[in-house]
Amino acid sequence: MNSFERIIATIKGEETDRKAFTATLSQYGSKYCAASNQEYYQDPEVYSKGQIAISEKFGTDVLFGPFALALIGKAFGAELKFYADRPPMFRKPFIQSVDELLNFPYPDIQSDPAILYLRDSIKILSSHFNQKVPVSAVSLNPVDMPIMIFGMDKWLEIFLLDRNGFYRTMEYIIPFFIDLTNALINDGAACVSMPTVFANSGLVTRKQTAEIVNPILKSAFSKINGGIIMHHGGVPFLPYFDTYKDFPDNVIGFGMDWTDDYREARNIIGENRVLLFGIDGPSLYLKGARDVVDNCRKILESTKSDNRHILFSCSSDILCNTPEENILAMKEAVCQFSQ
Amino acid sequence: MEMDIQQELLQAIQDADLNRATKLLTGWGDLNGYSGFTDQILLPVLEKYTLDDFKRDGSPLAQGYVAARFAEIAINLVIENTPAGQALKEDKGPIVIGNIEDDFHSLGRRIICSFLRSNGWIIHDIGNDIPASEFVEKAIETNSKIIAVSAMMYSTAINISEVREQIIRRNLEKEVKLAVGGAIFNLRTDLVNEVGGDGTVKSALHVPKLFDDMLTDLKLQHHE
Repeated sequence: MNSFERIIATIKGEETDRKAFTATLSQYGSKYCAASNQEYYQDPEVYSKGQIAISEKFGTDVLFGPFALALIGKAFGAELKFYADRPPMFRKPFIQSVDELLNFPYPDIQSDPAILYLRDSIKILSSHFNQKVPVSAVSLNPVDMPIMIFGMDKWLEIFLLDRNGFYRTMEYIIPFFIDLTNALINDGAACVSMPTVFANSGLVTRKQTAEIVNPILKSAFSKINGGIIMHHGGVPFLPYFDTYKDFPDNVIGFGMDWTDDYREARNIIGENRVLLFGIDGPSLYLKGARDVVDNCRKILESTKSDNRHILFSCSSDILCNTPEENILAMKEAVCQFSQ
Repeated sequence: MEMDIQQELLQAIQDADLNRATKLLTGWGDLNGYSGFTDQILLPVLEKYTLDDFKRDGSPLAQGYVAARFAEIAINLVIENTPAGQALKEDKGPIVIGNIEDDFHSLGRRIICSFLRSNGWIIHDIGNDIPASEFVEKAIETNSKIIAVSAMMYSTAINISEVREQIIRRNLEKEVKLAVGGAIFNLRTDLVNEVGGDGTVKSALHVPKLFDDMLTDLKLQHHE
């Protein structure tokens, strides 16, 4: 089985030759490019070169497009800050109010440089790995997208204190979200992974998630012509996990937090969706490779009867100072476990 | 009557409904005036919320935000209605607070500032994306005994260790405490030690108590 076949079988809940595994190595690929980080996050050829090297070196079963969500903000005029060893971050919004946003013309997904970078990275990678390794784009859901337009503080303020402004923003952003996400699917993304910020327990109340956020997500997701993976967004997913049960079928999976209880998650969500679950990605650099193998094996043991589990590096991107052998240890664990 | 409004305010905060909380506050103030508001209403409500928050092992940021904004609105109304020269709370002294270099997530910091202010601390808020040396320089300049550094993500939180190094380099270990916080510290309990922090808490509501304890520790160290 190649990675593409393995992932398709996993989504269908069928037997595979070994458990599928993946790790968020979007930034890590820059180590193999001999280019500045600014080039890495602006030139899709450079980014793709890094991800091709990731595939050759680590053999992950899913590759990711740029995990650089601030670039969506850039398309709306936001000022970014670039770093030597991590993705660019949102620094300052250009748009200060809902009224300003409503008068701001949509970024053209056919010509805006930041959007084209995201799209072209997917085009290059999916064409290179055609039917061999699936490539997931990384983007934002429509309720979280304004974080990259207004900044988190302002958007939370609008959400809490100006409900009319919140819904006017949604009316504006949902068509953009649908156009961008469907474009990424058309460009070759096997699915689109989205961190979950406003629909999780770290940010808003359960009632707000269930009554305000989820109905918008369900409606918007149903208009996407491909699979969506909802990622835990940095906090445990379980507290509101039951509220995602009736999301559309194209939400094919959930990226869990490493502190979540896998069995409970499976019981809540049912048998039909994929659960990506495993070890913590950002602190992987602190571990020894043997420990990584052992931890992964324990997880694989506890999920062995579950065909819709993918071993995963949870949380955000794996840091560049992580030893390669710690990442290779994930593959070693899945290979050992299948023997 | 106090119990009723306390309960209603608590519910409004737990529902993250600032409009309702503010209406309750001004309604009570119009009827009773604001002179007894801090002791009879605000502090008991925040205390109860803090206790509930502790039992729940943390709350959504929206609740903390509403509680902080509510405290801010309440304190401002009390100040507007307090005769000049009459102190609101005991002056606990200055502290320096900011987000570490490369971190732009100011919401948690702003919430903490509101709670600290309502507890009598003088706040020197130096903003987002602040290099380690600036925290220590500001603490020296303002004679602050506590430096509070916030970071949301792991990749930026590790920059806080440079603040600890600056404290050591300037021989201020017995003069200044380093409080650290932000979402990532709730998820990684060992991170506070990794970056050289003297303490952290799970929620902004618990920060005033942490700072009181830190100040007591410093006084004890001086007596030893």
